[in-house]
Amino acid sequence: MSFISRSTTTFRRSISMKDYARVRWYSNSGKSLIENILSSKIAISKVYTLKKRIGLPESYPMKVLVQALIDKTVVQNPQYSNEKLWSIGKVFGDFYVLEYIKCKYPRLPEEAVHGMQNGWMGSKALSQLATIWGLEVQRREEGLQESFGKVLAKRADPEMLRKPGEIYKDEAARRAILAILGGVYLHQGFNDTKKFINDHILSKQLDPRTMLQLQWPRRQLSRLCKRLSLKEPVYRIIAETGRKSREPVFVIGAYSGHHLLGQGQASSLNLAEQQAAYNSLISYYIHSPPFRQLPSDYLEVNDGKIPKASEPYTSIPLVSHGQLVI
Amino acid sequence: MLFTIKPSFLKPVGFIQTRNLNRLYPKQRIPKRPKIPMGSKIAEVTETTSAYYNPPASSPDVRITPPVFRYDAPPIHQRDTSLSKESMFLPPAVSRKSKSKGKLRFSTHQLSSEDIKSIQDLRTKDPNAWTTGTLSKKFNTTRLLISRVCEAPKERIQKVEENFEAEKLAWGSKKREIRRQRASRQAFRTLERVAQV
Repeated sequence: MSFISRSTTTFRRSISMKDYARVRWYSNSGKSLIENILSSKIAISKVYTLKKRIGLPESYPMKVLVQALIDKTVVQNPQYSNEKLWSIGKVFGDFYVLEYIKCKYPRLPEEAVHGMQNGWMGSKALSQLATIWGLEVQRREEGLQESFGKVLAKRADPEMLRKPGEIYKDEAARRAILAILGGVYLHQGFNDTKKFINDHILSKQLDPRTMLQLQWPRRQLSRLCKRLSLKEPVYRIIAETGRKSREPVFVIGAYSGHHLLGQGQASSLNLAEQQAAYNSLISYYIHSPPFRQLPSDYLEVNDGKIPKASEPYTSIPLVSHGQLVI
Repeated sequence: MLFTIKPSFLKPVGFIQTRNLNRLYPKQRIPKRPKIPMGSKIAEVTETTSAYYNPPASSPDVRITPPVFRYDAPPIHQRDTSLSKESMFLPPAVSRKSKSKGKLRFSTHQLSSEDIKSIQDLRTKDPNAWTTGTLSKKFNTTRLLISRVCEAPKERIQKVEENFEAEKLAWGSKKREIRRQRASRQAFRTLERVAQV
């Protein structure tokens, strides 16, 4: 058995070596890898199908889309890979998604903000999006010409130990999507890019409650009330049943003075208090005040001229009274 | 030739008979309610009858922000600080267990200078009545702290020692040995002398 596995490994490595040599030959020859893909009918049909499925307009050049699907790990020359496109897409995507999160949930803590950003722009999230689009990543044992029309990426063998900088399928898919986004920005402009992000990335529903991890809810609620100059929270029994039975039900509300902050329901007083404090904190942190427009809406450019805004800029109410401002 | 013989032949397995239990219809089962036939009337509904929507109680929604936490909540100087009519009808607060007032293992608050003076006065006036235990219960502190704040006068200490010596005469050999070991451990443990009470 060991003899067979060794021969298989050697055979596999020889394939990868040949492919690598072929790739380098492609990069150095007169006809580049992009032109080879464009000349292949099967690849062109695949790429065109992807273009229509995503919703890109007809004016979007095919060469850019083909280049976006070539990962930087396959071709060393950035002229023929998606390295530059990916950088542009990453910057713009992070900018717009972070802006959206900050405007919608201004009180969300930084850890939750990063969690939401990762939920929208992370490797796994974008890899799932690639699967939804129908994008496929080149397999390890697949030849180069066979995988024209897919995301071309060099992947490490499973036998080797993991090293820093290792190429994964998710990372390659993420780079491909961000490269396509960069291409949209370069060839269609600001508004279409935002529309693209809204349609494909922000349309995924994320619940901000799952991002918060509150370990000491009663203590944190006390500190929050102190910060907001409210009275110390008092826990009051709103309703109860079956106190002397095996499974009682207590409904406890957290009150600050005569203001009800939140309710909790549990089978013991202690748990109900914790639940009430937890619900109060959650309702505070995921509060999203109404906002008319994002700050980046003022960056819209029509035919090279900055249009006059219909309404004067009104800042989003990010900080409520009594909150700390640094 | 021995390899061809199966192990089951060499080690015969005994047969275990499973009792035939009546699982479908146990004796103590609750009898099933007969099905209501289709089309039978359940309730009489007339023109004067009106239906009421009464949904079951559910947990409050976290996404509804209380008015105090809203972004447009009034600032502190505009907030209604006076007790309104609603505060009179607030539900009862959750009761907490009362703290133990005796033999505290830690002090719940710092003693003020007035407390220290009153402790010293009381202990100086009547050391027999105001012992460390009594004072610790009164001021909610530990006996160690009371002993450090003010030591008993020399007459009181001498009297306590005399009583202790009188008690020692009635001890047996076992108790003496235990006390000797405890004293030796205490000598190693603490070098500083703590006032005896």
